[in-house]
Formats: sequence, structure tokens, C-alpha cells
Amino acid sequence: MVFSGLPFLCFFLPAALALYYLAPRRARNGVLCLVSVVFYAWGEPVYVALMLFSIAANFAYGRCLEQRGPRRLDLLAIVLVNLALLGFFKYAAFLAENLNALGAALPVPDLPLPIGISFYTFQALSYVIDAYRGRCAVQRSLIDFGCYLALFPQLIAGPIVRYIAVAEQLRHRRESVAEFTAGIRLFAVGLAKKVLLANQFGLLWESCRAEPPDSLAGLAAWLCIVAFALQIYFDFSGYSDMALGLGHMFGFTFPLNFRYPYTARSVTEFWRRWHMTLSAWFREYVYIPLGGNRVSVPRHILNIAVVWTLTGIWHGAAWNFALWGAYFGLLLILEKYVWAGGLEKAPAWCGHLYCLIAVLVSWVFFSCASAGEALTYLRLMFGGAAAWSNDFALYQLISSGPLLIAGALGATRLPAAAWAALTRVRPGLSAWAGAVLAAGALLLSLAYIVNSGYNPFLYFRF
Amino acid sequence: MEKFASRALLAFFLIFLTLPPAAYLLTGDQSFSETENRYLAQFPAWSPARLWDGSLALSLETYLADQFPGRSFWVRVKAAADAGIGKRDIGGAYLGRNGRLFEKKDRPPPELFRENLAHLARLAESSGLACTFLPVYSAATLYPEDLPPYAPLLPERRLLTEIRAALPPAVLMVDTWPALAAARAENIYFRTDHHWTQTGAYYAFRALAAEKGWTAPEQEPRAAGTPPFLGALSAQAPLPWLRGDEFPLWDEPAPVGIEIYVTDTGETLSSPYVYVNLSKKDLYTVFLGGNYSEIVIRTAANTGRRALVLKDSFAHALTPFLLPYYDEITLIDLRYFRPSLSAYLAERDFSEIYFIYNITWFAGDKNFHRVSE
Repeated sequence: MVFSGLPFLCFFLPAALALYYLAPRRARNGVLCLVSVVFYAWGEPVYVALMLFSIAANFAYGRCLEQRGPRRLDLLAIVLVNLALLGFFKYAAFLAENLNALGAALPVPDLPLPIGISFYTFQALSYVIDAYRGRCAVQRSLIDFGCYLALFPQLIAGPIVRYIAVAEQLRHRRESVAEFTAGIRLFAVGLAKKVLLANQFGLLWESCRAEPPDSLAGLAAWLCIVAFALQIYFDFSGYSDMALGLGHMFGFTFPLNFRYPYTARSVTEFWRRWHMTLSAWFREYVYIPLGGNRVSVPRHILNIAVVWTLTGIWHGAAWNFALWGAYFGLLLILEKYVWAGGLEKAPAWCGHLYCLIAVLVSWVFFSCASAGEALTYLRLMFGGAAAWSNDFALYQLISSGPLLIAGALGATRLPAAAWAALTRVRPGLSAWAGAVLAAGALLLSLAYIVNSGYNPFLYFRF
Repeated sequence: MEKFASRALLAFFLIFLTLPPAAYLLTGDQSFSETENRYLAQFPAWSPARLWDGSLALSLETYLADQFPGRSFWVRVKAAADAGIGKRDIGGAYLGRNGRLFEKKDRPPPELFRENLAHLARLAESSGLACTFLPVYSAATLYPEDLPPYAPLLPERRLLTEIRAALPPAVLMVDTWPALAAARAENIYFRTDHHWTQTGAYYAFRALAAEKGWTAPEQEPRAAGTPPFLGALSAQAPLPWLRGDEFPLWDEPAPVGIEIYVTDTGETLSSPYVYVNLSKKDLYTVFLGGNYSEIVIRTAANTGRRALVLKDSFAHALTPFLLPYYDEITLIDLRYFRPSLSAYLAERDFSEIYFIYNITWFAGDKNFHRVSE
């Protein structure tokens, strides 16, 4: 089930909130666990078993750890179980296809990817590794653990919440009216980002993509990729905002996932602002264990390369995602060892421009399934198009102009800064305006949801 | 103050969450949406297999959207918001000036247009019959100044020269442009429907009559007496400020004894106008009752001529004017007609063939390969 759909808004959410608040406090994690399973089972009933197995296996590891103490082999076993699940369902077909291309004759499994498996597997790994390291206490309640892993707000599109970030909240959290209304505001913002912005940019992106590339003007190619950049940002950060907002409604505080990534001045900074919980996970559980930057330069470069290739294929089992990750790894190495000083000394606008272009080029790799298609787009963007502009490009630019401006402004911290200023000067007005805007955003989003057959879920490959 | 605002938002949210499910349960389902001019999804059939493979969930989502309480209100809100944020097309309709909507079609592959022409050329040659191509322009070609700037469209007048070049010289091409362009100020195209009005069709018919050497009778349109007509495009872009057009209906043709047989339904009509449809939402279905695969019209004109008309719905408004000149007119819509056309031609004794098509539709029509089958 997705947040931006009628089954969720009209039936699931009201029922989940009612059951949760009607239940006595000690039963609330059980209620959350149960409704989360229903949430997952909607449209995906087969793979519920997989998620339940993951809950049981990782919980059992914790209990085993408590009884036998930390043993490397136990940890290795449970990590392998998690990775095997992820590997089989997400990467087996990709691996088989590539081996077959090299001459093997393996059967290619044709399995749909279980939604959210990359998110909950990473959450499970954060628990078993931190428990092994003694950073957190072992969870003794299966229900509380199931509640952590299956928690529907962050189940299918993040943020990737490390167990230690919510271990305390699982036991002792206090829901409050203030927190609940803060949650409503965040949810409204997230829903509007997804439905009113991301989906609209998605339509622009798809109409540009539908044009035959040989008649696409340079301007249209740029529009196309800018539309994709805005779509994926507002979609993903919108989902994260909705997750955080829903979390607050149930008394949880989840970590922030996006902090105006498109305002970064370098790729290094971009990744400190984009999908922050994913990069934090890789830093904590892959990069630092490999030695991080406290190693020789060649080893450090290798570490970065490994982490970023993995980050790439985390986004999907295909070469274009690996290439996308490797591209970022390369830029990060270059920024660290080659043009770090230059970037710092350059005026701010240079950094912004460089980062935006680098990221837009990365979305070409991300969005094009084949290298040939990606190269065609890059050629069109950088002077290889038959014309710089044509009727199609100008029409799309004018028709989507106000939306593009709204998106570009909305991706910066300007709206938040303006809001903070208003709150400082006129707190009463800002409170009322906030309530009215949130209500308006919810209603307008509803109008778009009722109306639109277009509501894509972008993370089915993650 | 701040606390009060918070409480108000909380109260709103609780209503937001509870009102729709309550309304779903309390209001009955609708089968047809007048605003959108389409049938709405009904409660899906339940089965364990469909639950298991997830297809039930998908059908339920469509059902919930289609039956959302007050749906037509939300549909209008969304269209108005799209227009408000500056979008120049909604639901496949360009938002033009002067309250005009224009059909927005995906650009068809150029080879499809060339193939369609090749099929027609082959038919024209192999049939050995006199052929007439009557092209129908889209509203956008006649009112380009009302289009949004840079709106991509097929250049119909240029396509027409390609059509002329590709068809055998014996095919009569009717040049309707001068007559229609001269009548631009009149109500010749609906502002909110892709079709022309019957007045537009009348001017095209005059051009045809001039080519054929017929003396077209001076006829007058009369208003059909219906409420202003809001056409199919206004269902795609249901903006609250759109205004309908007067629906002109021209006098019925003179010869008596018209008998119209609609093969698809088995019905027999005695007039090319289906007057009961004047009370329907889509007034254009007044002409011959709408889209059917085969309609056979017999008249008492006693001219000895029998015409086959391959056409799209633009021909419907024009057909009544043709009746005095033929004993029999057979209208075939290749989008719905399944039998082999060559066998059909061989079995019947036609004296000529018409092609009456909107140029843009013709260029994107995927059914012409049937002509050669």
C-alpha cells in the first residue's frame, strides 16, 4: 500500500489510528505490528511470509547472542541469512543473466522484488551488528522487535532507521497532541510534495521521454532530466516527510532523510544531504569497518569505490545503477584528492553549478536502462542535438514553467527560512497559516489522488 | 492562539480521515459520470486467487477512485488547479483562448501515415471505382491563433499535400479550405468538442457539391433547442468556466422513404437524426446515433448511384447532405469493422467510394491495414 492512495488515506490510516489509540498502552506495539503486516500484505500477500521470517530470524539471533555471548560465527551466519534473502530476491536474476552472458546456462528466476526488502533488511542488519558490538541491548520482546522491523511508516521507502535510534522509543514513548499535530503538518507537506509536485514532474519527464530522441531538442533533453531530478527528489523526500509525520502520530521520532540536497556545493556535500540514512548506514556498517579514511591512499580509494558501487546496486540490480554508484564514487575520490582545494576557493555559485550538473548527469545514468540510451541523452544535452530548441521544448517549458519554478524554490531552504522568519515575527499568524496551508495541501492532494491514474511508486527496484 | 490553531488542524484532520469512509458507506455507487463522459469502475469481483496475486488490490484502488464521494467536484478542482498552475493542456486537451479546447494527440509515427496512404492508394486502384477524398481539418488548423503558444500539432495542410501526392491522380480531392476559412467567424467547430458542427460539415459539403457539379439546395440551420453543448473535450478538461455552444441542426434532406439500417444493433431508423439523443450529454450522437461499424442507408432518390463511405465520426454530420444524391450509402468505420473489406466490395455493387477523415486522425489510424486484407 502506498501513502498517496485512497485505500491508505480513507481506510487504513483512520483504522490504524483508531485501533492504536483505543488500545491500552501495553498493547500498542502489538497493534502497530499487526496493522503493519496488513499494510504490507495489501497487494503483496505472498511476501509477508518473507518479512515475518526476517523478523523471526533476526530476533532469534538476539536471543542467541544473549545466551551464548558475542560469537563471530553467529553474527556471520545471521548477516549471511539477511544478505542471502536480499541477494536471492533482488540480485539472483541479474547475476544469472550476467553469468549466462559469459557462457553459463543458469535458469533466470523470474520473481517480483518484495517491496521494501532493501529497507527492512538493512534495518535488521543494523540491529544484529549493533547488538553484537554491544551498542544496544538485545530486544527480548518479539512484538517490539516485529514492530521495529515492520513499522509501516518507514517500511517501504525509508528512512532506514537504525535500531539504536528507536530502541528507547519502542518501550517508552509518549504520544501528545502537540506531536500529533506536528505529524499532521509533516504528513501534509510530504503528501503535497509527492502528489502535487513529484507526480506532475513525472508526467513532464514521461512526455519528454516519449519523444523520439532524434527529434528531441537540447532544451527538451535538459527539461527531461531536470524534471526527473525534481520528481525523484520530491517523491523520495515527500515519502520521508510522510514517514516522519506518521511516526509522530504514533509517538516516534525518526531521523531526517533529506536536507536540501540540491543546494549542495559539492558531490561530497550532496551525499551528506541526500538519503542521509542510507549513506549513514553504509558509513557505519561498510566504510568504517573497511578502515574508512584511516588507511593508505590506495586503500582509501578502494574503500570508496567498494562503498559506492554497493550504494549503486542497492538502488536496483542492474548495470546502470552500478555505473551510477561508481560515477559518484569517482567524483568523491576526485573531490578528496584532486580538486578539493579548488572547490573550496571557488565562488559559491561555481560549486552549486558544478554540483547540480554532476548530479543531473548522474540521473541520466540512473534513469536510462542502457548505457546507449544514457549516452544518447548526454549527447543531446551537451550540444549533440539537431536543434537547441523547438516547439515541443518551448511548449513544455511554458506549460510547466510555473511548476518548475515552484519546484526549484521548494528544493531550497527558502520556504523553511521564510516560515521561520514569519513564526519569529508573528507566531499567531504563522500557526494559523500553517494549519490552513496543511489542510489545503491535504484537500488539494486528495483532489489529485481521486483524479489521477498516474501515481507511480519509484522504489519497486530498491 | 498557537494552541487553538493546532487543535483546529487536529479537528480538521480527524474529519478528513473519517468523512470519506463514512460517505463511501452511506452513498450508493454510480455507473456513469456525466462530467467525465465515461463509465465508472464497479466493486470488483472477489476471489481468493485475485486477493493472492494482488490484482484485487489494484481493482479496489480504481473502484475507490471512481466512486469517491463527490467525485465530479474533485475532478473539477483538480482541472482548475492544473490550469491555475499554468498548465496548457489537461487530460489530452489544449486549453486555448476564447474558451476553446483543442484535441492533443500523440504524434503518430510518420511511417504509419505513409502506410495508411499506401493502403488507400491500393484500394483506389484495385477497386476501379471513382474515389473521392474529403479531408476534414481539426479545429486547431482553422483557429491556430487560439492555440497555446508552441503547442505541437500535426501540420494538417502540409499533410494534405502529401496525401494528394500519394493517391492516384484519378482520386478526387475535395478542397474544403476556402469555404471553411471564409466561414471562420461562424459556429463551424465546437469549442469544447473535437468535432465540427453541422454548419462546418455543410460548408464542406458545398465544396464537394461544386466539385461534383451538384446544385446544392440553399438550406438553413436551426438551433436544436438544446442547452449549450459541452463536448467531449470538456469532459477531459472539466474546467468550471467553460461555456457550451449552440448546437445547429440542418433541415432533414428532402427525399422521403429513408431507411437506415444499423448492422451492429439491428435497428432501423427513418431519419439520419436520432432526436432522442438531443437529451443526452453527447449531442454529436444525434447524427446517425453514434459510432457503429456498418450503417446502410437506402433512399428513394432514384439516382442509380450506390456509395461506400470509409469514414470516422466527422462524416456523421455531413452524411445527411449526401442522401439526395444516392440510392444507397454504406458507412463503414474501420475502427470497428471486422470482415474482409475486399470480399465486402466484391459482393456488393458500389458505384463509388468516399474517404471522409479528419486528417490528424487519419495520420494516426491503426486500422487501415484491414483495407488490404
